[in-house]
Amino acid sequence: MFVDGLELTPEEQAWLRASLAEEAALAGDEDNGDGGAGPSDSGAGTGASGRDRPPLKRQAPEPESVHPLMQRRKAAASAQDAAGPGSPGTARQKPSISFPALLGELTLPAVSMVRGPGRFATGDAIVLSRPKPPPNSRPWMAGQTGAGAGTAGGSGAAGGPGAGSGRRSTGKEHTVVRILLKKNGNEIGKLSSDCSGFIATLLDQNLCSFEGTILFAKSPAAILDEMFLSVNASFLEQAFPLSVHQQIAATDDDGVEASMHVAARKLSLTRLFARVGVPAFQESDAAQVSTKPSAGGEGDDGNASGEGNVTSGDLAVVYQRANQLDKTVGSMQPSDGMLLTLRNYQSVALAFMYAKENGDGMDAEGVSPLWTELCMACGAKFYYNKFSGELSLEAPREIHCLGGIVADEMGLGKTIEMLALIHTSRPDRTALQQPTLGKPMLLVCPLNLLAQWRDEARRAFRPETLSVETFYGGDRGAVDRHMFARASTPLIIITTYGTLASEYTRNIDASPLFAVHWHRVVLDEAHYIKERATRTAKSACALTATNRWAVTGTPIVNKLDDIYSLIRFLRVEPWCQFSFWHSLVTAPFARREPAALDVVQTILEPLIIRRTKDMRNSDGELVVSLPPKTVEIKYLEFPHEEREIYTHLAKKLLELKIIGKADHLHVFQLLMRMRQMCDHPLLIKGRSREVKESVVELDELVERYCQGMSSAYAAQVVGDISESSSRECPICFESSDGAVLLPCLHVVCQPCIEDFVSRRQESGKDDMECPICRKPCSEADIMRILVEAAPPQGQSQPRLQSLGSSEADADAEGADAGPSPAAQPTPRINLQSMSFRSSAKLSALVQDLRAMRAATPDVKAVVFSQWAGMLDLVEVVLKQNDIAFVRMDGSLPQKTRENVLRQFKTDTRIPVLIATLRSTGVGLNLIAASRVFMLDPWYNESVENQAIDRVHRLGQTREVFVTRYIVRDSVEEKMLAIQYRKSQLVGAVTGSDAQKLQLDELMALFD
Amino acid sequence: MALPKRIIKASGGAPHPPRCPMGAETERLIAEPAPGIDARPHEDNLRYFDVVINGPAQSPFEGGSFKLELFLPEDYPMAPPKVRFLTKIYHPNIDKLGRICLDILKDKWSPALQIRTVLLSIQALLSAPNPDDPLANDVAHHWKENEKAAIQTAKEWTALHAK
Repeated sequence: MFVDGLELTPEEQAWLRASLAEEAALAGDEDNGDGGAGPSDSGAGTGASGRDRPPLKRQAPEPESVHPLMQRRKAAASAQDAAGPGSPGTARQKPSISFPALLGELTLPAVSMVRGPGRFATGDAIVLSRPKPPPNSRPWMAGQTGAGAGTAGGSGAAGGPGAGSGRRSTGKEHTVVRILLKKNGNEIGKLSSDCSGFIATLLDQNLCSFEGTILFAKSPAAILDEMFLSVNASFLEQAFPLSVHQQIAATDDDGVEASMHVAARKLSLTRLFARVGVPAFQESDAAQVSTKPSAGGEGDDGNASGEGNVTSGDLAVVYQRANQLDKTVGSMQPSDGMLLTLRNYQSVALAFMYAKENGDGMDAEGVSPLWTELCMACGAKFYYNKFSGELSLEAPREIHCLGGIVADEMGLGKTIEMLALIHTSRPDRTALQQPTLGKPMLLVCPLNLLAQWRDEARRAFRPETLSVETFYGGDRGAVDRHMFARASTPLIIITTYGTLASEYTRNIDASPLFAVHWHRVVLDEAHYIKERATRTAKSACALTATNRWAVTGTPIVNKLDDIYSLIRFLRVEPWCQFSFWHSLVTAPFARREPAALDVVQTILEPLIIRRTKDMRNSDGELVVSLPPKTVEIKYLEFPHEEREIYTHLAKKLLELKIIGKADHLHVFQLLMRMRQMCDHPLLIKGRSREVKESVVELDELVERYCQGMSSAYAAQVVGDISESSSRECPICFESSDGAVLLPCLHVVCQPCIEDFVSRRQESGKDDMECPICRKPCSEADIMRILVEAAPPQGQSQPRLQSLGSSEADADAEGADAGPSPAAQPTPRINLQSMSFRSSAKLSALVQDLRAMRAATPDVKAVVFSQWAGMLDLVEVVLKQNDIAFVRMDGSLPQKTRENVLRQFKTDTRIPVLIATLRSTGVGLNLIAASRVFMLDPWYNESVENQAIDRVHRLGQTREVFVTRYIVRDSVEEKMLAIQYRKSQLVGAVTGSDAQKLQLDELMALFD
Repeated sequence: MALPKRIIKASGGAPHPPRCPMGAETERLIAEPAPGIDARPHEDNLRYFDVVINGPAQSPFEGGSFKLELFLPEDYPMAPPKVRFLTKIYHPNIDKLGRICLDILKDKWSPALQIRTVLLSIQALLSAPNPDDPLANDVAHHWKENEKAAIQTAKEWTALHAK
């Protein structure tokens, strides 16, 4: 439960402060145990000492866990308590304003806590104070010193800032603000509770001091008599940090506490400004587009929760400014030397990126739109950030995010766009002398793309225009701290996420990666940093650079917060502060407020360039002219046996739930089983490899069969069999496909033997015999005969290579090719146990592949599964059906992969590539194929789309057909639903279609 | 459900429609008849065969020609054909109704067997009656008690019914 400043009840505010104070107290204990403990009865200002500590009164009451009434009594007893303000002097240089600086005047209701005549009178000078300076205030909060009225006179502030920090370790925080008589420090009353809250926070957070006079009071006084104060609110020096970003750094530590701190601060300040009626600074530049709504104008005294609220109007300010950067910046061509030509939309991207890097027409001197210029009563102007509650005396410069997110869909050429930018937008050559201007840029990418980037970069430019080096493994010479001084330093350094993270962990101080201020940092596949707590994300954010780019086709992989990590990397003010993001995006989103999506969308709009393949330009033409893509979901039914196993698994899952053992791991395991079951029952047992390997060669089997007999006889048998396998089946008299071999070396066709077996079983005979010679045998001995087409001479055998990645296979291939006579290549015969059964999916796949081969013989297909085991089984059925294929999975070394891909691209006799979803997810180009079969769904459609887009990408000339197999009434159908939800989320955030979504549809995203 | 392909070819799909819709087995049966056996399918029902088996030489049935009917059930060749003598015959393994006691027509059936092999088996059964596995009990009894008399009766029946 996040406490947002917007909706706090007084109780919650109090709780909030309690937490903060507790925090501070704890920290104080550690930091400076004796810091505030030393009492200083002298009460003299120690400003001259240079190191100020609040000399606090020893007799201060201990308000901890005391009943409020008790407190009051105690408080009354210690009228001397309040520490007066000390001298403001510190060594800091600020615009010449004397502190405390008068902000303005406000009237506050109060109640008397004393009685009797002569205790106080209208017109008496008073100061406001928090009940008790803590015994252990933090040093940084203790900028003021002095106690009592004596010193307070000069500065006009009361309530030692030390009062702000730790209060109590237990119990509910109170918001009591005391009224002390200036002349003697006696406490005469407290502020009414309805307005003491924000004053208390301001005092606690060391922002303001308050002094004034009694405007009206009854005399003689009675306890709880009403009275009114006229109070001057003055800023303390501490309210203005030296630099604006000090606070960001302080609050950047993710925590919810930090965000509570910010929330309380801005709530209180906003209320104060409203009460005081702080005017906008009138002489401000009228040309500033960032409108400056007067803080006073938006407050509403009666409605505390309305203040500090970031209203939609406020956001509009941010957005309006942000949206000034129009993405329709036209197009632009890369400068000379780039060898690749950009497509139209790519040059639009270049223009956008160039504009982002090289000032986009925004007034660099402009005041950041997040800040409002306000004027104090003393005439000084200051700046207030309504969103973070920060204050500043200097005009905060708007921080441009130089860079952004390139989120074009897969296959649109993000790499080329980025290369064009690198080439075109370079730091001014003359500026290279300035050490602060980084010249080289750093590109971070996943390891498997390292070489591709390097080669692409070298391919794209004339050699003299750009130089590229990698920073990986032992190859790190190119980068060091002095690299900028050398003319030979390459312009592009490429490294990997892994290297970056390890440098970050091992030697962030020594590593040149972090010592150098890069001209540009580009994260390729930037979703690698989506978890902001990971080392990878932290290391990426730690890089310093002028320009930052995140390149990813999937800016949101799983959840809305995935974006945050990118925002943080890009240092987009103010969203890169987690507290800010949390309170405006994460928390509302968790509360199912659709507005959160609007916020994200608006944040992203100026930052992101994303084109999808079906996006159209202003003329209504497709941005990318890709052939159409048709995705068909093919629903399959489990056959009875498979359904039985599946149901069994589902029951198990239910049982787990019932007995309460449904921990994450168990459920996940079972779910995986169920998903595997949808592919093939053998996957559950992990036996797919066995099946694959149970394929034996006929020669081997015959050899076993004819032990001791002459090899001539064996050869004869082999010949007979290979001949008879193409002859008609003795049962159905057809030369049907799929001959099987019985141990007695009789050959029949598979449908017949299956029919035969099932009939025997039906008639109660569990033994098995050959239908021809009646020789008994077992079902397991029946082997399928797989005849491979004879490989043409001199050609490598595709099948063999695909079978395994091991060297042994490659050797075997060489051995085979050698002795075989040149005259007539004999067909190769493999046998495979009949005990292998197909599954609904495999059968469907084979059927579709065969139909594809029959209808369009020249079309190639890619078959994806997420299980390597499933691919083993696919291999088996493909062989059975004499469909040549190559295989690619994660176990293949990089070099073999390249071979496999080349073979698939060039060899017309190989129509099928089977691949795991993961191994082909990124970077690859499979446009040789135009059919895609997705055997199983992944939780995340974007992963599947990544894979599909390997085929459906630039260069594809054929229409692409995608078939996704889904088993009905299974976990796969549910996964489809999850996918749908996620893709809706992405669309809602990055697309412009969000408006079209109905509210209830949006709500469905949260379920 | 499909007709057994080896008996009746599917008419569609073939490049040139067969003149006779019969399957490979039937065609071969007609083209290369087994000696002493004649089997023809009915024109209106290709599953139904008119069969004539000549009595084997040196058997009591020599000289006779025996009519049989043969019917291929739906699940042929997984199930055996149904065969019955139409001509009266005096034989221990064939009853009054013409039913035949032959193991391959029952549990020893194999789909690798064919009409031709079945009829040859029946022909062989005529040569070698097996009274130990009888179907017609009285005939079998007779055969065991007095084989000569039984064979004589068989010859008479053949002359009487199978000429």
